Amino acid sequence: MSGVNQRALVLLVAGFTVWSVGFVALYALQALGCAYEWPQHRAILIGADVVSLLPLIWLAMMKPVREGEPATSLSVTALWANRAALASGVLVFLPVTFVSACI
Amino acid sequence: MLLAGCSGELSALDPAGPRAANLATLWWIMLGGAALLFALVMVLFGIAYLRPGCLSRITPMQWIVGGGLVLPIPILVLLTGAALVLGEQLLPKGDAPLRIEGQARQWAWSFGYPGGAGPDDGTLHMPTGEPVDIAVTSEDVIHSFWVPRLGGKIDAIPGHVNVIRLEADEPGIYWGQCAEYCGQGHDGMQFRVEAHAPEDFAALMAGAAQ
Repeated sequence: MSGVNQRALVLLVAGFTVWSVGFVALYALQALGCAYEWPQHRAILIGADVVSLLPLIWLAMMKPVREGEPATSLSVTALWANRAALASGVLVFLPVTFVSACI
Repeated sequence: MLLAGCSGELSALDPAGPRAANLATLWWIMLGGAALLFALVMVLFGIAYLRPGCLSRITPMQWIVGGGLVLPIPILVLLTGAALVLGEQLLPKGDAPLRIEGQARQWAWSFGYPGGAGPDDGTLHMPTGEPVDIAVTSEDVIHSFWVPRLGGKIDAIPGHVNVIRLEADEPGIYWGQCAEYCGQGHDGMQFRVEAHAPEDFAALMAGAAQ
């Protein structure tokens, strides 16, 4: 496998891996905050949302090929997969910032 | 014949209160969305089969963008939004006028009323026209409290109390069912719910307390 495709393969899985880690982290913080009645629960959830989105934004902006290298199918797929991961992150994580967290 | 399943004592599609109505509304929205998408795909399938020339001008990229992004994203956003709005209205925010303790065990339910009032007959008695909180727990394994015509469901967990809010519009008999498999007697773990007019409920509580 060429160096371009090796890099693209890593980037292909990176976006949704970060997304899934962010999802689990938000889920855990929501549950722990309710169980231990954290006074700053909402602020923590908003902060975790932002922290989860930052690497997704970075990945969505990162070009899978370096200057002068030709784009491959894998590199184009990686770029759009990471943009999809960012869009999914915005859509799925956003409700923790405003809907009821605990009963 | 299909619609026969939409009514009956344990039908969530035959709501008898505002909270169950929310859930039924969400179910119908989901069904409508699914039916619309299914019909659209079937129409495209029919055109592709009967008049293949009509679709030949659409490029593979247009199919991917249209069918994979433009079509599902607005529908998913709308369905998620509807679920969030309707779901928020189900939550027991603040204190309800009445809180009843509900305890599950294999394979029966028992209910306790404020101040030890109320009959101990295994029936959940509640007033109509006002929200009622049910504080649910379990003596043994995990069960799930569910009165389909009055509200959603919530787990009954040993050592933990979960609260669910129900509301009945009209006096009558409703039925609940354990909604989490809990052993051999699970399917028979039903309970009766009797909703009374507020004055009748007050009289029942006063009578049982004497």
